[in-house]
Parts: sequence; C-alpha cells; structure tokens
Amino acid sequence: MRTSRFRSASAGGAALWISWLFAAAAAAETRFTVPLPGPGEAVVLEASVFNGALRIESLPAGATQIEVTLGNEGDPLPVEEEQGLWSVPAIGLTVETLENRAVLKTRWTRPLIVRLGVPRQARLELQTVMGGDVELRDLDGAIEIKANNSDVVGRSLGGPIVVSSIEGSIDIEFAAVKVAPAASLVTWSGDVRVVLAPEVGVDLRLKAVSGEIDSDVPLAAPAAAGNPRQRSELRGRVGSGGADVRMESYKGSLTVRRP
Amino acid sequence: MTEARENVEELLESLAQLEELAALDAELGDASEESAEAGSLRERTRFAWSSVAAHDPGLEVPSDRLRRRFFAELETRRERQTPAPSRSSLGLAAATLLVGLGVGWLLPGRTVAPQSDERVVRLEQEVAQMGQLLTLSLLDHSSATERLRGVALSEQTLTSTEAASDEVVSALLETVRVDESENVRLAALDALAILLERPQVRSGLAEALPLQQSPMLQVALSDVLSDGFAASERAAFEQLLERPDLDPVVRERLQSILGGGEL
Repeated sequence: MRTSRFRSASAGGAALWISWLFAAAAAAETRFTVPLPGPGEAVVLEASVFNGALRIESLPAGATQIEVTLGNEGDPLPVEEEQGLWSVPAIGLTVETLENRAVLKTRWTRPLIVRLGVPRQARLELQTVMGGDVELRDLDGAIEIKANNSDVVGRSLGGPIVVSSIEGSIDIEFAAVKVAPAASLVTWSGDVRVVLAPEVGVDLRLKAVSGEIDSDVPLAAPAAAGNPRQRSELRGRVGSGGADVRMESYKGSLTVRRP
Repeated sequence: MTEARENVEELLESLAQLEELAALDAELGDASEESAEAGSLRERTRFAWSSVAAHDPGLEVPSDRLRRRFFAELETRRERQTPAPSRSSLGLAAATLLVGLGVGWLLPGRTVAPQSDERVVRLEQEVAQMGQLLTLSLLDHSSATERLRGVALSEQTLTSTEAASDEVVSALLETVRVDESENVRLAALDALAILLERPQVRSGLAEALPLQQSPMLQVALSDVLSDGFAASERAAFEQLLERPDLDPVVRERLQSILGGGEL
C-alpha cells in the first residue's frame, strides 16, 4: 500500500510523504522499564516534572515495574542505568529506586510529556514545577499532587486523593468502589469538579469564596457559621456519609456530580 | 510496635462496645426515629471505626467475642433486678439502665449519677485516650492523606469532649503553622476554628499567619481571625501587609478586615 502510493506520487504527494517522515520522526518516543525489586509490597512513586505533562495510568494486574515513556522529538534518547539509578542525560531525567519506592525527576526547561505505567495500587506523590497538566487514569492507590499552573484530571480513581494547585483546575471522576475514597481538592484560581463514586456514602464540604457552587447533592450551611471562612462553607451528605470530600477554590467554581 | 498494636486493638474493642451501646439505645428508643443521643454516639463510633480500620486495614474487628461479653454483662445485670414481672420487661429495664448509664457518661454535658457504671467511665476514658493517641499518630504521618484523616478524627474529639486535649490542640496549631500540605493546613484550621474562644488557639493562629506563603492560607487564617481581633492579631495582619509580594486579593482582604469592612 505504501509502495503503490509512493510510485504514484506527484510532486505534491512527495512533499506529503516527506512531511509524514518528519512527523514520524518527531513522534519518536523513548521508553524504558524500571523494575521494582519487592513484588507484593506497596509501590510508591514520587514524580516531579519541571515543565510538561505527566500522564499516569495503571499497568495490567500483577505488574511490579514502572514503564516510562518520554514524548521527545527526534530519535529515541539513550537511557543509562547504574545501581538502581536510571537516567536520560539528554533531557536531565532521572529515576532512582530504593526497594519499592521510585523517585522520578526532570530538570528540562522545555516542555516534556512523561507517560508512566504503574501498578494500580501504587501510591503517587506528584509535583509540577513550571506547569504542565497531570492526567491520571484507572488508579486505586493514594494520590497526592502539588500542581503549579497545571490542570489535574483524574478518571476512574478508586483511592484517596489530595490536590493543591496554585493556578489550575481540578477534575476528578471516581471509579465505582465499595467504600468511597476521601478527597481534598484545593485551588486558588481554578474550577474544581468531582464526579462521586456511585452508591457510596460521602460527606461533602465545599468552600467557594468568589465562585459559584453547582451540586447534584443538596447542600446547606453548617449550624455554627461564625467567621467569614465558616460562612463560605456548604456541607452535604450522600447516603449515611463516610469519606470526607473537601473542595475549595478562592476564585473558581465548584461542581459536584452524582451518577 | 507490639504495644502500639495492642493499643489499637484495645481501642477497637472499646469502640465495639460503644457501637453496641448505641445500637441498643436506638432499639430501646423510638423504633421509627433514632434518638439524637444514639445518633450522635453512632456517628462517633462509625467515624472512629473507619479511621482505625483505614489506619490498619489488617486489623480484624473482634465483634463476636465482644458481643458475647457485652450480653453476658447484660445478663448479670438482669439477674440483679428484683422483682421481675416478666422476662421481657426485666431485660428492657436492665438494658435501659445500662445504656442510660453508658450514654449518660459518654455524651458531653451530662450530669454523672453517683451509681453510674465505673466500667463505662473507664471505657470512655480509654476511648478518649486512645482516640487522642491515634489522632496524634496520624497527624505525624508522612502521608498527607493520613494527616487529613488525623485532622478529621481530631474534629470528632474536639466536638465530643468538653475539655479538648491541649495536646491535640497544640498538634493542630503546629500543623497549621508548618505542615507541608496546604490541604492539611486548611483542614487543621477549620478544626481549630470552633475553639477560637481559647486564647491559646487565637494566639497560635495569629503567630501562624505571617508564616504562610500560600494565598489560600493567608486568606483563610485572616478570615478566621477577623471577628473581634485583638492587638496581637492586628499586628499579624499588618506584618503580612508589609510583604511586597503579597497577592493583591489578599492585600485587599486584609485592608478590609483592618478597616472594619464587610467581607
């Protein structure tokens, strides 16, 4: 198919073919696997991305490694490994492991897309320094994120999550689980949206100082609302209550959806 | 480590007994509507259960053994009651006595009857001590998720006991001052906001204000301290206002507070 297309190529077609080659080269990826030596134990991943996007999703059940994929330009970059320290010198990325804890850092100032596959139950401690969105999917471990100029998006999450953001929105959809996970989602200037896990008890506490609140769950002001901070709070309960879900934004709006 | 585990197991055992009391009290009350006392007790035990279980999911609830002990105790009390017009009314009276004494001791603001059950008193004290230990342990955890759980547990302690532990209050103040997670600091502040009448809390929060780099914490602390602030709190507001890099929103809010404006 490719051959016949090449044979019939006109001058314009040749240009398209060349541009496809460049595009393919630009989309090259660098991949490597970081094995974790202690299968069956809790995996902890710390990741700090200086500039760029961080996309994390679960690996198939039973996985005991971390899969790293870098969306860099050009050819795959050389990866070095020495005594549990993995590095990609061209972009200043390192992954250091100590038993089942892995620490990933990037110091590249140009935007870099880092995709990570991790065990589903892995505990994640993530940080963005100069911006870049964080995307999470199909994860059940506890997640803590400090985001700076980053949007945080989570889909099908089954574990507790703590996010603080300076400038950026937070959009979390929980998976169907037996026990609702707790959440604390705070941003100075961004919207916060949560889709609750279905049919589980939750206690909601929402504070929006200058934004609006839109909730599928009935909300009310707490009985003792003395100072301005207390007066900005609304609370709600799903079922008989349970996990604390706190959402707070100074400048943004808050949205709660219940499936 | 073994001692810590024994402490948690002891707490679990105490909580199981509290749960039994709450359930029994609810059964003895209006069947169609759970009493406020039983509801409150049930709420506290439910929360404590979830906190303990989440802290150590490997622990198993010793419910069967406790249930047997509890009802053996109840049976003993039944036998002490004379005369007994019928078995059912005797059981009801004994259970009401036991639950009444227990709930009377457990709930805040209750007058203690001289003949009340010392075991329930000890039980309540043990639960309170264990709850505080668990709270302090969680507040010291390396995970922000667990520290948030500790703050939530402390809120239950602070609202359910007349004399909230100074140790827990100090730990929460320290959390507001220096915890590395903004989320945990905000939660701790909310937990302390109900204790503003305590000078220790107001002064501690005022001291924490100038330390905050996060505009969210700066506004939150200022708002909490804005009602009836004293000279020391005014000094904290003014100290924060001196920062050249202060967010304009925070600056405007502080000026409004100092000027007595509406927030």
